Amino acid sequence: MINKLKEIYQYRFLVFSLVSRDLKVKYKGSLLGFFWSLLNPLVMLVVYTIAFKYIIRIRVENFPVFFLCAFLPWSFLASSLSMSVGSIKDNGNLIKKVYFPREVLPLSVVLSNLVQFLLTFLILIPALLLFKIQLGLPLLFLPIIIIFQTAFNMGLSFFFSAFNVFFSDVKHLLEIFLQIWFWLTPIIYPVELVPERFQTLYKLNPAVQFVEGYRNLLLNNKGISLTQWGVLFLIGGVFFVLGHLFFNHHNKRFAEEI
Amino acid sequence: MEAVKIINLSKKFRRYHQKSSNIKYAALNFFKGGRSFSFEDFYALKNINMSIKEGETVGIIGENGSGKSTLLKLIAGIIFPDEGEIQTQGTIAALIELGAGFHTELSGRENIYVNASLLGFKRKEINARINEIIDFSGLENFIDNPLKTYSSGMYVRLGFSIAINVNPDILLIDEILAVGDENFQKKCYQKIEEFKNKGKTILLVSHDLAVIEKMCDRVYLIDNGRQFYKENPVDVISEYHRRLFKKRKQALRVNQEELTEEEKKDKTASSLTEFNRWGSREVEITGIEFLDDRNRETYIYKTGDFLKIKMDYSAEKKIKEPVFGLAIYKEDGTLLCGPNTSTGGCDIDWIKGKGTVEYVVDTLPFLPGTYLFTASIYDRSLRHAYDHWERCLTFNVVENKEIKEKFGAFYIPSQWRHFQQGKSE
Repeated sequence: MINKLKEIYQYRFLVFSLVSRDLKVKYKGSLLGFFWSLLNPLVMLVVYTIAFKYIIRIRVENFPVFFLCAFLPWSFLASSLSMSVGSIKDNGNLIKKVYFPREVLPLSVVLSNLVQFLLTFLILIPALLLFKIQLGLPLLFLPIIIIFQTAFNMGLSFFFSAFNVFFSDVKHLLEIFLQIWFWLTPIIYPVELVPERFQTLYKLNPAVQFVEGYRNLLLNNKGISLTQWGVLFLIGGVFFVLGHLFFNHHNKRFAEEI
Repeated sequence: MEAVKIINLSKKFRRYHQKSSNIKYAALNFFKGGRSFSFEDFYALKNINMSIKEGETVGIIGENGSGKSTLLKLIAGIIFPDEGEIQTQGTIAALIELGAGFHTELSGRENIYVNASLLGFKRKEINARINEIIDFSGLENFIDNPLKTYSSGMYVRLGFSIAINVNPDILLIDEILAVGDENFQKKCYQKIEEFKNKGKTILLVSHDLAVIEKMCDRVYLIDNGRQFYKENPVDVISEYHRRLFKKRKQALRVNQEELTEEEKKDKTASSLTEFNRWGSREVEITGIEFLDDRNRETYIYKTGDFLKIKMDYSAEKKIKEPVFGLAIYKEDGTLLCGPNTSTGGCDIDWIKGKGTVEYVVDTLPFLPGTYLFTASIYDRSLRHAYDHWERCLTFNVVENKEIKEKFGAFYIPSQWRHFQQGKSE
């Protein structure tokens, strides 16, 4: 694995070019450019605010920012996965004819989503200020949780993109899976609403841990306890390593199976 | 020192009987009998051993599907061997796909960065070479336009310029030299010569035997996944011709279903039946033989040799005024000649049953190369085909030491004279 990572590092410029190709292609020739990336969360914000604050009348303080603090990291996760699941299979032409570390493909998808995630802070921070949320020192820990989540995303992307090579249904199953996962994660409701007896089970969902982490840092102006950091680190690390092991195990057959 | 060493390499491919890669089938099959797919393994390569020294240029020849591209992919690390191993020394660049990762919305320049990074370049290396690459492609004026405005020729030229400007220790080239116009090709060959002179190792897979012969120090033949090797490239190339001819002959017989059981099992023979044959078949060609001056079957002639082609036929009923014909083409498809019994003054009133037609050339005028052969039987008007075997065989002409001509297709016996005015002793 260490050797693999070294090789990927050797190919870092490829990762960079793929990410920048991805972003360039996405925004070239469109008038609003990257503002499109911001538009989607904004629309979701309006929709969910109307639905949950005014129709279902969920009682949460500052619902719009409460929602955004969780929805933006969630979007980073969901779009990383749904875009990377086909990254090996759809690039069959490259895989069959060019040698390069295959990990580069899902990695560059996750990284290009990371860039877009970081850009969405351009609406998140002003929104927090608008709602007069107290921002403080905990913000300094934001990069760490983002790194852990990126590792988590990468691990899952390795897993799904490799799995999808052998079963094309994986792509469709993933979409359904993401739908369910969305509702099992406290994005539009607070964790406290989950009944007491389900709490332990509920918190096994790694996304819960990340969402809570982001909310603590951004919304509650609270630090994250050392154990909590440990949990986040473990989730990121374990998923990354296991995902990569799975990927690497099947790597040799990619070129023949596509 | 060895740049590439291949030891007992074998590669199996899996042929699925029902290629279904979805979970439903997998699950169904799983519950049926535990085996998730029905497939058979076959060897794409078997027991390959090669040892290529640093600085050598080595050619790999073989028919389509013989496994030569598979070998290149194995060396490049795109696929992995099932048995044996490959040891390589130094950086490798494989020119198998041109313009990998090109995106049509991006400019030529931006695409250079993407493609070159796929080939393993770092940013600095690309920056250092980008002008050279653009120069080589001859696309200076278009380089900042999006790729979608490029013609397919420009596209390929850009791809090639990037690929050829890589600077690896070992260069693997698969059949991609056949791009662009003649001028551009010349540039490419120069570039490869440059590589050679720098002492780089080159592995070249090509159909173009002339190129292979010209550029390679050694040649391997891959036939049906197995290798054939002799020290002298000329021996390997003529072995290739010999096998090709044998297979063609076999294919002729496959067409007549006269195959022995053993040959029927040989899959390559049946794949060769696909040459074009048409006609109403009231009279059929039943065999073709190429003979030399001692009436022995052959497929290699020297310029100036005696050549006899025998065509056997069989007519079910009486056929009036048939015309037997043949045609010889250059490898690129240019028709060189198309004689027939009618134009040759050998009118045949009628035929019935079996018989033979001979075409005899006392001195073969063709210069060295590979030639394609067509045989046919038509009616008198030459409009109705009884039996037509389009490009069913190939034969080769090799150098005759007494004839030094090299250019074109024909040797025409002739003399040169020279007169100079006002010259005195």
